[in-house]
Amino acid sequence: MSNAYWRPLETDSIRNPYKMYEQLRLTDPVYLSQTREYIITRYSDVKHILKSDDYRSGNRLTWLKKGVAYFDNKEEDLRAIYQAMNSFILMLNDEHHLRIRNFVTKSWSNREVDGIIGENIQMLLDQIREKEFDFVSTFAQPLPVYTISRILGIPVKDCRYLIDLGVAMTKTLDLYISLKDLVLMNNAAKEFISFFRDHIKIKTENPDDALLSKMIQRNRTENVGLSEEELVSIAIFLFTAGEETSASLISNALLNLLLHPDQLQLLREDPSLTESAIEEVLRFDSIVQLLGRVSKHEVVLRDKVIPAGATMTLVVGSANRDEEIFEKADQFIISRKPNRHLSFGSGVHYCLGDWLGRRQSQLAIGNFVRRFAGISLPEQELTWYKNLAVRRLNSLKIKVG
Amino acid sequence: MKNRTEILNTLKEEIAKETGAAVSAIDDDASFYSLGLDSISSVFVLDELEKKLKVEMNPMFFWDYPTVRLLAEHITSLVQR
Repeated sequence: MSNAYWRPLETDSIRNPYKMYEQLRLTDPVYLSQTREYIITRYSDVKHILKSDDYRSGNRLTWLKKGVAYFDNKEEDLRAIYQAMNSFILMLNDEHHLRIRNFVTKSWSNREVDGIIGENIQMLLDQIREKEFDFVSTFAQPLPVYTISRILGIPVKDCRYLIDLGVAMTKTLDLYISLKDLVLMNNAAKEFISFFRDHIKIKTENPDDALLSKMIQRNRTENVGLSEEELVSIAIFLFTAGEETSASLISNALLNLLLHPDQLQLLREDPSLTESAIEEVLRFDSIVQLLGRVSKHEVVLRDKVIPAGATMTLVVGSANRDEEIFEKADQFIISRKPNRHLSFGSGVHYCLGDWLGRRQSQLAIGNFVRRFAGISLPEQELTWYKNLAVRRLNSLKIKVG
Repeated sequence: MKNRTEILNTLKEEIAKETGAAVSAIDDDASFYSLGLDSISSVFVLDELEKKLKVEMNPMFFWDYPTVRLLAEHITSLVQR
């Protein structure tokens, strides 16, 4: 075991990162880690950096670009990764960021998603025959895939296939990856690129009312000038962001309700608490735990002089547990208000799909709890995705009755 | 099973191959950074070590055991476990 305060890949930290965060918050909230990053764990600092003009986004994109070039010399072709990610909105800056972000928000005018989500939920609930099953693969993962596919207007022929691609693509958020991870990402990127290339071709010839068609049309009629490669990357981003994060949020929501039966009982008695319950899950067990920024020039933070070009790792999962902001921060309280968590970020990069993630999770949990009068957690060892950046359960065995 | 000396030598050979330095010039206690490795080339070197030593490498090893001596000791402890 490492002696450093920053132990992002150790099993104990993955299982429960909040102890490590607390230690960092209390001892050194601007911690220069052995990985040569500044680990930022207090709410006020995380929020300040997200809103400040002194930092830019995109350090992962830069790293991956350098990595792809490096491995090209080793005859390991990883170019699809960078190609797939060239327009990932959360990693872009300044005009480029604004241009792509505006393009997506203007194309995505239809926010009537309750109907689509409701139908998908009913379909998935009706398919449940067992009394004991894995909630993640049976419900939490397929639901957002069906939803984002319908929003984009792409067919769901093979849900599992798309889920696996999404999981691999989410590795773009991971810090500290291996060559095996990069190869996996590259394979997924290739598949995704060819999948969306095909569908852009189909939608160009036969447009419909869904988002992919609207983006293609808008690009043409408004002379936006996006290349096919950029459109493909935007589609991959929307799909992955809409799918992976929602799946994790729904899983974490049910898990935390089952671990706090008094809170589940409260929710059953008063369904109007669903909205604040999802906010509390977002705060208590944030899906995206880490966000990255780079200092544009020398800055001073809590009396520490930080050089230009320094990597700042913002620990959202820690900011959300900061006692300075949240009373009883380590308690799961579904009626908590106000609840100004940072799980969707803050500032210019504030999550574009927050409304979709929220609404989908509220409907999913509300309906699931209503369908089954008794839900319990059989004894099991909970395992999480091996990287701290995203807090995703591998599986969640439950019993219904 | 490889012993500590063999692991140490394999490590030095891989670093030498990557950085172009002579094996004999690599100091056991020099940091990987000062030897010319970084967050990208370490991904490659750890992968090569994984193949050669048949031990699963964790991307944090490069940072948590940042010298030839420390990493060799750690890998030895994994092999013997």
